[in-house]
Amino acid sequence: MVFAKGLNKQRKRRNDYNNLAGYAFISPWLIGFILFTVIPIGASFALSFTRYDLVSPPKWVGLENYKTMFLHDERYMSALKATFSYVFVAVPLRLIFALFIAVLLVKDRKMVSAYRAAFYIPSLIGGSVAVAVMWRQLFGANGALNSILIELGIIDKGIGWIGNPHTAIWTLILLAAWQFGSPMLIFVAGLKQIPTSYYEAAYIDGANSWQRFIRITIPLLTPIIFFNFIMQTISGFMAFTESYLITGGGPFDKTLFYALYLFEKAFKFYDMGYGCAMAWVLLLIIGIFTALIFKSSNYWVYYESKGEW
Amino acid sequence: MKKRKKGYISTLLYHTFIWIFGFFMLYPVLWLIGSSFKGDADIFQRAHHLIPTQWEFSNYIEGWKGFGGISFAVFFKNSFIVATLTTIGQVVSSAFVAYGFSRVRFKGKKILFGCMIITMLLPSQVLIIPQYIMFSKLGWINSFKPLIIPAFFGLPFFIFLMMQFIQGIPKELDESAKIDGCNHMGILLRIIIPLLVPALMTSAIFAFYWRWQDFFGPLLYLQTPGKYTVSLALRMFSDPAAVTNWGAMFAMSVLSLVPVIILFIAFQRYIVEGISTSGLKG
Amino acid sequence: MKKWWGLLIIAILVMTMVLTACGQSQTTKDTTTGDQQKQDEPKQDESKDNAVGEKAELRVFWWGSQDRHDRTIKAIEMFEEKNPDVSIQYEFSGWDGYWEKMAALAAANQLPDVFQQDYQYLAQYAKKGLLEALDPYVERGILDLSDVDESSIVGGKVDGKLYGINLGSNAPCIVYDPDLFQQAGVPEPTPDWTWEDYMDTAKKIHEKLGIYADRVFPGGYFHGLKHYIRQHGQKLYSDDGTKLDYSDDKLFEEFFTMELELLKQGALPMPDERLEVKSVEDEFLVTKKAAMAAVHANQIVAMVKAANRPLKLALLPKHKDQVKEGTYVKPSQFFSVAATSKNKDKAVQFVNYFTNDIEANKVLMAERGVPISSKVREALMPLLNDAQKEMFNFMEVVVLNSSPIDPPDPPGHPEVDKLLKNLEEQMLYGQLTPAEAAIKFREEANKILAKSAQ
Repeated sequence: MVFAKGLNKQRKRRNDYNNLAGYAFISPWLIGFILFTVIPIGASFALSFTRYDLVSPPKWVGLENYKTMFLHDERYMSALKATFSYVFVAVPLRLIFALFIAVLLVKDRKMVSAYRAAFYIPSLIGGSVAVAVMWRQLFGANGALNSILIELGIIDKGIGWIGNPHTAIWTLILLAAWQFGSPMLIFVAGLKQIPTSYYEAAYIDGANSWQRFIRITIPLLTPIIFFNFIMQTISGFMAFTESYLITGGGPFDKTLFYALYLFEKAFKFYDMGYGCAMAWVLLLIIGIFTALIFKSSNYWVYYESKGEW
Repeated sequence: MKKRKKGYISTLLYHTFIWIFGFFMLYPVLWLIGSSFKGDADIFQRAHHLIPTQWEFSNYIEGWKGFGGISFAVFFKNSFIVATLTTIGQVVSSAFVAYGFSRVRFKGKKILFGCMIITMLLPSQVLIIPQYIMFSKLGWINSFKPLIIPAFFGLPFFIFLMMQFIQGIPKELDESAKIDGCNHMGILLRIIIPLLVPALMTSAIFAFYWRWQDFFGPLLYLQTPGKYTVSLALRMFSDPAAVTNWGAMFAMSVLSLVPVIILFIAFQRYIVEGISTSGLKG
Repeated sequence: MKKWWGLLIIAILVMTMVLTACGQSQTTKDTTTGDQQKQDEPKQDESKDNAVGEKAELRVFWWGSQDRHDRTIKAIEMFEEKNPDVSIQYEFSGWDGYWEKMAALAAANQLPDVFQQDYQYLAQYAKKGLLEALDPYVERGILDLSDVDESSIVGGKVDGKLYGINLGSNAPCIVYDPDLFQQAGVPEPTPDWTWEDYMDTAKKIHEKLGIYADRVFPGGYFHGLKHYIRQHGQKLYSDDGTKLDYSDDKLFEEFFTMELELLKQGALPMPDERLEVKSVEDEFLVTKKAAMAAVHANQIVAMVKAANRPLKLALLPKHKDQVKEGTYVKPSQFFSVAATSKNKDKAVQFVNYFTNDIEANKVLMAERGVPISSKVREALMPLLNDAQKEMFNFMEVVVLNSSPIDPPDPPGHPEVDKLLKNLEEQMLYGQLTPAEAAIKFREEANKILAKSAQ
């Protein structure tokens, strides 16, 4: 009896300690969350039920914004279509390139750091005006791609890839794929974490490179794949700068990314209430996809340190 | 004998492939650099030629002069201040938070973790206005504060990233440290952080680069041109209504890439070194 | 045990830091050293005491190009020399991002004392009570408009009150290359040339020279349509801005059918090619890919510089059965005064200076458009280069061949503009016929306008 009591007391002290410690450690995020995020999030949720033009006080309109979005807004549907097409193609492409190159560049051969830097540079240029100009130049009617294709005899007259309704979104998808540097870096860091001893042991056991890749690299990399997959999906849904700078959402909304339409509604057409409603629907969409990926992670993600969750 | 030959061929193939693929990857960047040395007419009329007919260094000199009497030296300085402080803030605070979420059992963890993930899902355009009003009431407009101070409260992206890495570290190490008498802080500092270096460095690179590139934040919060960052200043080069100095803009864009590349090359080593500490299961 | 107490203390310290930051905000602002022109550290504190005779502080914002920034800053400095009791904190940006910023400032009640306004947004800002009505200041003599023609002023009026001062008169027009016209054997446009003349000219240019007639149809999709509707005595927007005004969809059809005809003949490029043009230097007229450019009059200056050869200005075509002139004098941009300004008198004084001061305008050199004061125009004439002279002279022609400007675009305008742009592209790609587009435009535009008028 005395023993049990003592043990319980110890466990309680343990729990208290853990609780306090836990909160202490996450306090930076928690405080910031409350100060800088909760209030704006709350405000944006409330605003989604209003008409707010930023200057006059918000006017309550109930579910009208949401109704308009789904029933009366053609441009909204175009935005959804464009965004989904983009996410379903660009995200996998990006991840595949990132992993492929990361694997190639993880071994410490000569010049690897330089190579890594080189492959990362496209991502560094990111969403700058220079990239937009350059991309429009490359894919323009008089641009480099056309001159190469004409030289090779594949086409005889330049195509304006960016302004053409059928190809516009592909120029953006290509841009996304080209900028795989960030997930690549993360993959490299993840690959570095895999102990070489595992590979050595497998080699001794007679496994070839492909088997080592499938049996060791991939499984141990799954937490990182999981992370990249989620982050790229989320950022894919929120893509904005590319379409803002390069295509402006055109031609006729073929590349009107969701975030761009939201931005237009809120800041150009001064309908902030509608913009907030759109934001919350986007949150729901991304949330559903993220939850799905999280749920599925139980089946394919392998953690070295099982337990905490 | 056969083995050595195979070694040469595969290395050759490897490097060749990398070079070709790399060339395609870098072509647009090379175009950018080449254009920065071209005269305005050259840039668009001879677009696909990477090498200028005439090397114009004037773009760099002209561009450096900046606007309204404020040179790019000021813009670069501002960008550095903002980006560096933000990076330190985000990386350090995120590490703490990531440890808390991954290694400490506490009540309400799952809910709070969910909240954190949800934060990442809201498009920033929508939070911007309420945040702006808040910052305006605090009197932080036209200062670097709204850009830097929130950084010290962790960034969900980095928190989540570091959590994934921490969860790849075997708990046995924690246990052995506990036996030696460490509390959570001790475990964090002695075991986790050293093994987290690749993730920390990666986060640092991202944090710096994102803040360096950020345009919308500076647009909203910085008013006097003397406080502008490079990203904001670059935007001002291209105005649809008048003649744009493309050459100068490209030149300054190229320059703005330099700090990030240097940072990347410098920190990259640490990601590589991470492997030497991974020989755990001996 | 001790260690996590330490963490909690740090957390509390951080919070304290955040909260006490509020107290410091009034007196400390980040300073930057270097070439910053106007940092008013000490003056910040004094701004509250301006009533007691200390320096009044004005915030002045504008958008534009580097050229405009340099000129405007110089003019501001000259103003401060003449008015030592006023100090101006200025800020500028490109067109890109300007309105987002204004929206944020408006939401926080922090609009600048004087800021550049545009025809598209004037009504919106005025109707929401964000702008100060300037009529009383004209009456009191602070704002001197005695040398200004009514036609230049009326564009800045909303609901009969003056909210913006025109910084330079402008007009949608056609810039053309007389040399190319000669090569194609077509006569140069006269002020009375009609749509038939235009279509003829465009086709001939394409046939003879193999280049495009223009990058876009005269006026572009929006101003062109508006012009066409005006020529038939109707208006695009209703006066109260809640719906489209013109009743005859045939007008829409006719206008875009003309455009499609030229497109079919190859005299106009497809939208994807149009995208090539990001700024003045890429204009097809400049690169000789077209013989004309449908732009605004003040752009001829930059075009001539980029093209390095003489160009001329022509009016938009008249309609042979027109009941009214479609052309109008358009203010290129305005200066408005914020209703929340704490120094309204000084702010209006500054606007007055911009409008009337000869020395200042010699620095500004009509970069924003033709000055509205006749005295200023006279003073500048001898200093103008050829392109600028062409612009000045052209505006005289415009005044003689124009009718009053329509009321400013209603609040829903930006969205209607985007709608029309999308419809035009769809028509060009053959996805909609002009007849279908006309109906769609009416439906959707009315929805937008009704909603934004609430």
